[in-house]
Amino acid sequence: MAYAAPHTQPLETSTGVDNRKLLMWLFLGSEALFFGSLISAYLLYRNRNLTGPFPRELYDIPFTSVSSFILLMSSVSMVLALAAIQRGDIRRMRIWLVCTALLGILFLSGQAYEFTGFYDRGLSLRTNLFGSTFFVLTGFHGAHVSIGVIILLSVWVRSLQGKIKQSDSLTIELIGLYWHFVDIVWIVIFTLVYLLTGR
Amino acid sequence: MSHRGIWLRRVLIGSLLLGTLLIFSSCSGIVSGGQNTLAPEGSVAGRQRDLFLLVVWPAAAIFVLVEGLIILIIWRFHHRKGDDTLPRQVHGNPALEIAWTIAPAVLLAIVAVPTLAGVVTLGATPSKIGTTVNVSAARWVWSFSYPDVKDSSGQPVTGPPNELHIPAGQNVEFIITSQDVIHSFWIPKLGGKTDAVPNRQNRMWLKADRPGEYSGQCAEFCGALGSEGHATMRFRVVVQTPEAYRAYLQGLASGSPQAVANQGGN
Amino acid sequence: MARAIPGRSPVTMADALRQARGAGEPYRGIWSWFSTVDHKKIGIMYGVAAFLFFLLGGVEALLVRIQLAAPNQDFLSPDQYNAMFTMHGTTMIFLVVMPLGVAFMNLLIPLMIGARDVAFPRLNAFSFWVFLLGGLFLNVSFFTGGNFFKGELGAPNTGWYGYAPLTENAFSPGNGVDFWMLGVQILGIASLAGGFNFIVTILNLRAPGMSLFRMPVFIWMSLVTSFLLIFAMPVLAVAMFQLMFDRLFGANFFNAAAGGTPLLWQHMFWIFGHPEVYILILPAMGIISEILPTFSRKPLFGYPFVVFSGIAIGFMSWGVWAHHMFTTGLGAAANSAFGVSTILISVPTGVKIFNWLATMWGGKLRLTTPMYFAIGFIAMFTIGGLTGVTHSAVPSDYQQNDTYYVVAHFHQVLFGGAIFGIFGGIYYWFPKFTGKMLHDGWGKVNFWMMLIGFNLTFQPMMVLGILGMPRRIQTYPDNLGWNFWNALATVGAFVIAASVLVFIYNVIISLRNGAEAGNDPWDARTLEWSIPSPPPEHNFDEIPVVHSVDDFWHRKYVEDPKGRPVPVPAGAAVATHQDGRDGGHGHGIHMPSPSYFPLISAVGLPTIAFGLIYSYALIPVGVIILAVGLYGWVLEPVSE
Ligand code: HEA
Ligand code: HEA
Ligand code: CUA
Ligand SMILES: [Cu+2]
Repeated sequence: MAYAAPHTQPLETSTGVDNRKLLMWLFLGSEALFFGSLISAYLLYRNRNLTGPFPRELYDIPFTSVSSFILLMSSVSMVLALAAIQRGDIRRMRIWLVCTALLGILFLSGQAYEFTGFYDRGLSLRTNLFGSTFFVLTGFHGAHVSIGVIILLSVWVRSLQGKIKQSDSLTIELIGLYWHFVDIVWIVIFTLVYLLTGR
Repeated sequence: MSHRGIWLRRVLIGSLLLGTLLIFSSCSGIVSGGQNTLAPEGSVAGRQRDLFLLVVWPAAAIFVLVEGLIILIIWRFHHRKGDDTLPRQVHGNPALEIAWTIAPAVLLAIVAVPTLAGVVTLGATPSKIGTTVNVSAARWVWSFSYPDVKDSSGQPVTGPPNELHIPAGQNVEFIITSQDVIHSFWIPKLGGKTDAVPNRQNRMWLKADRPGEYSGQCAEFCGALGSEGHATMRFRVVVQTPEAYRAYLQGLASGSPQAVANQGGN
Repeated sequence: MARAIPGRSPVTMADALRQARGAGEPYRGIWSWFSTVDHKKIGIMYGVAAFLFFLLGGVEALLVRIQLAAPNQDFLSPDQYNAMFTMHGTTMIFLVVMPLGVAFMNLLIPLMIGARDVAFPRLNAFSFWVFLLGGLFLNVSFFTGGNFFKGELGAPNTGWYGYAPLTENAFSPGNGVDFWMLGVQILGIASLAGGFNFIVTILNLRAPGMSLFRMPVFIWMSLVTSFLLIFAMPVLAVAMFQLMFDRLFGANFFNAAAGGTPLLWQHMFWIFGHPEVYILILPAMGIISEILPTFSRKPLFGYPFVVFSGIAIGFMSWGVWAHHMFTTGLGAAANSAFGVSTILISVPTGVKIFNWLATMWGGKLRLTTPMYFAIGFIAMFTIGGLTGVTHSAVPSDYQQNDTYYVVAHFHQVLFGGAIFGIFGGIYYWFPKFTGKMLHDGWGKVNFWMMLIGFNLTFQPMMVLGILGMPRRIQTYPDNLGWNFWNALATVGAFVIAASVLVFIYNVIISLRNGAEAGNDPWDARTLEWSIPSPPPEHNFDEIPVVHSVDDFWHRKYVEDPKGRPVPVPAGAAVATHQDGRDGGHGHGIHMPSPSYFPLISAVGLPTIAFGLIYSYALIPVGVIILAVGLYGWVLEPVSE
């Protein structure tokens, strides 16, 4: 993907970080402002709701804790996938990648279940401020997880075709960075949106 | 080359003069009526004008300094025909640079003091209020109601649309809101504007020096439909003696539109 | 006015072309432009497209001015007028000044830092195509309101910052605002892609020896701008998404009836919007920081100061956004805080003005057209900056806000600053990228007409604002003393338009029979002048090794004991470094191969946007196009 710089460059004129990795960090920095804005909007509006349903009527903290835990575990398996490819163990990597993707899908199913539950109890995007801010925030997060799952599965398919080698470990590392970021964002959302202001 | 330098200088000076002329002609208030904010007729607008001028003069000085330096530099240092040497290569001078960082900072700190004082004074309604007016904006009408006097149903009396009455010489508080989109309540001769925001009550106060008629105008873009719209969302401000103002409110209370119309102009 | 450089004979056009064409196969033919990943071609396309949009935005401005030339006119209906200024503002900001800045960054960053291309050439192409398609998408809206030729315009008409709740369905039915929010969203993606790419390029691809503090100031300003881009655009994206959910799916973000506050929009918009104005000006400041030293024949005065003040501006620009909201009733505490931060931000800008003046001081100024524009920048931007400072005295802004005084302020900085800087840049680097000099005489005609037109157009607006004329009104009564000043501004606008025509004429005649540029027509200081004009596809036959700021200059001159530069003896300079004619002729240098996938991926975005407006069935089509493009992109073998 990247057009690599000549190898002759001394370190001082480069960060020493691979181009693609630097790109990923910058992208995540930008994403941080994206989610920061969404979360701020949620927090700003949480006490302005005129009509129900209100967060405290809907949140099921134990359930969401479990799904948060699942997402957290997916980060662990992501770490293991990276460690595997760095060792050159493509087979293990493949397993852990699928594992990560499945955990992601499990999380998404949990979110789908939560969304339908909320919807059945009268909360939609249109209902009130809570509905709008909640669904848009968590929806965008879910979309990020979904994209992550698609990437994971794509890489998995490529690796089944034998196209992923130990030298591609950077690719896995980058996917990992993205995945962990999306995870951390969820921790922030879970803490700020569900735990601290949910009641 | 040097004839070009002269040419350049002439035109530059010419256009700078033109620019300055434009700026100053307005400051001297060649146009006095209308909505000229430099010819205020109320204490709030007066204070805002004073603050503006307080900033404008140093700004004008900096303007003259910078433009003057440009002309001087072009005049003194333009390349002369036949001169093939290069100038001395100066890379910088930290002392000088620190000086021209600090100097503007100090100047600005001085300006900041009256600015802050102004924000505070104009931000809080004074304790002595002559009267209060509720201002409500909707596309594209202004409605004014006066809580000092209630009508038969106990509501503040409401005047005709787009016509505001206030007493002269008294602090008047406005409570401003909007029914639909954002508008902005503005009477240039009496003071700056405050936005009318739906779901929100903004406060502002003004004091008119003397009875008279002024024009007011919506200042936040609020759309258009057909020939009506933001541009036409204007209103008339009638400043009356306190007595005439009381009488006007009583007239509104007694529900006699005739009385209202008659007293409109006083 | 090409000047021969002691010690080197200018490379002929033929040489340059041979150089350019011999290097890479795909450098020729129309189709090569669609698949190019060459930063120079992308830069040229960015620049040309943005310039065409400038003409469009300018015509919109002329229509506005015709309508306002006299009181009580009905040349345009209120709706048409509102569409005009909305499209004018949106176009000028998002389709003109931003992309022109990006065009310069594309053209110059690799050349100035001694790299062969940007870090991600295909991402770069993607950025351009997304920008172009986004701009076209936005302008399609003109034709969606019924019969365009009867003046039924579907274009957005809620102003360039589209304050909610005016943009909500209830007050803006029709799909103008939809085109606006989705179009700007698409353009944001282009900016983000550019921003990421430039940061990585600058941080990672510098030639050996080019440490951060040996980078040209333009590169520094590009770096700061890119950081502002990647942090500001996502905030705007969220605001636009919220509006989108409100309009298309009935959410309540800006619905007052549900308890929402329209001020949320304003905060989000201006948290983006203020950094944005520095995104618009910093590249121009970088440009003139290159032009002034070259023609003063002296190094930039206080390089570190200029760099640090640029960085300071970058940081401080995040803390002043609410100065656009002084009249919204934020309260005395917020107004004071933002008033003070706004006052403070003038300091780093002032530093630059004085450093530029000191650069010229003691020099031997060669008053060429680029130099005219650079001096014009300093002279005119200062006026705009000072009017900005008068805004920051909060209570007086209560009078100025939403009047022509603000309109005057931002045109003074945007036209007198950004546009002057950009024109200076065009005159300065045109020879490098075309091999031909722009005609200096016509250039000066261009400059003077533009300067006079600019002052005639925008200084009267300052007066109008003081006389209480609000902005965004299509008609005004004739008894307020505004007639004369409005007429003057209209005349001025046409003088500007004429100056632009002179510019276009100059470009045409200069491309046909302009003087040959040679490698280094200005006796300049930075690396791009060390290679042929136009540069070969691979830029540098051999990556240069950098020893100091203005490295190229120091290869040409050494300083005598008194600090006066003396030219390096003829021949020596050529011997010590590549002048592009000897060496590898670019053979054996691997350049990234062309690719259609960026273009394909880019097509997906407006397709999705059309789908959101007209028929959800199009959305999957767009998503598939996007996915095909991206998969192809990732899986495509990169040339080895
Ligand atoms: C290129 C873009 C650009 C730039 C660089 C600036 C620069 C500045 N702007 Fe401007 N601004 C805009 C583009 C820009 N602005 C736009 C587009 C809007 C309106 C948007 C809209 O409403 O549509 C706007 C609106 C705007 C407002 C809101 C007005 C209102 O709506 O009520 C304010 C308020 O404070 C402001 C302030 C400033 C200040 C203090 C600076 C400072 O950075 C200026 C600093 C420069 C100088 C001061 C001059 C040089 C300095 C010296 C020579 C040193 C000595 C100086 C002193 C001691 C004072 N600007
Ligand atoms: C960089 C930004 C930029 C630039 C360069 C300009 C340039 C100009 N602007 Fe712009 N303007 C804005 C940014 C800019 N503007 C913004 C952000 C707004 C706020 C919008 C809003 O309120 O929402 C605004 C608003 C605005 C208004 C206020 C409208 C209102 O509030 O009602 C006016 C009024 O006169 C105006 C005038 C002009 C004029 C006369 C020019 C001239 O300088 C234009 C000169 C250019 C040309 C004239 C082009 C030349 C074209 C030709 C020669 C035709 C040739 C054609 C072919 C070959 C096909 N502008
Ligand atoms: Cu109401 Cu503008
Ligand atoms: Cu600003």
